[in-house]
Amino acid sequence: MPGPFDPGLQNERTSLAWRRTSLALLTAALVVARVVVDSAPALAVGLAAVAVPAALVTSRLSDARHAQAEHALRGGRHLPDGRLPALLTGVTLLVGAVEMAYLLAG
Amino acid sequence: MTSADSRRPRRVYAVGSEPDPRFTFANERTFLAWIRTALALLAAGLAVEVFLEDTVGPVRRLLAAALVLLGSASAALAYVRWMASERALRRSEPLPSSVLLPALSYGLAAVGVAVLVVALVR
Repeated sequence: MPGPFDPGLQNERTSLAWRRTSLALLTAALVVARVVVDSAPALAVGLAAVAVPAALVTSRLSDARHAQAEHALRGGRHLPDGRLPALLTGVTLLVGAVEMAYLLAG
Repeated sequence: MTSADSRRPRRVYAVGSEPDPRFTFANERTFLAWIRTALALLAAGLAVEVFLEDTVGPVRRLLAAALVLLGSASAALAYVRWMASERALRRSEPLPSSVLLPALSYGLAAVGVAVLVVALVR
């Protein structure tokens, strides 16, 4: 392909977006867990036990995602697929569900 | 590519052909921006619940729940939108119109007005 290798630095921008999002997810999960822990400790521990490792795993996997995308741009295999986005969505929904449970239990 | 395509979800990758990578990256960044928006809404819901102490319990909880619902719906719809957009890119079709942005704007405006009214009345 003629021209610059990665015009617009797409891969780097996308990886930075993953970083921001993983961090936002980690923060949200911890804040929800912290607020919920006084009245519903089991819920808080459950959320933290799932969301914190998931956020950290997402962070590590997004590094691999960057490498795979880099390889793909240079004519290698495909760009990364939708599994990591699905994981991210799932954990976000989990945080929302715990928060909703906390509100309803009021 | 002759090796088996193990990419998921199949509803996206089984159709069409590889789009310009820039479009795929842009789609992904848009999805991530929606997830961050969803998380911000979840945080706002928590803030309403924790900080609007002067507001009557059920009212406060209703507002908080509305924000949590908006946030959760945004997250779910973000992924649906990502799938539909990637499919459209692969098939060189127009991107799907999404009810997401207008729905979120109206929903958020309604909750914002409600929070303001409630906070001022107290």
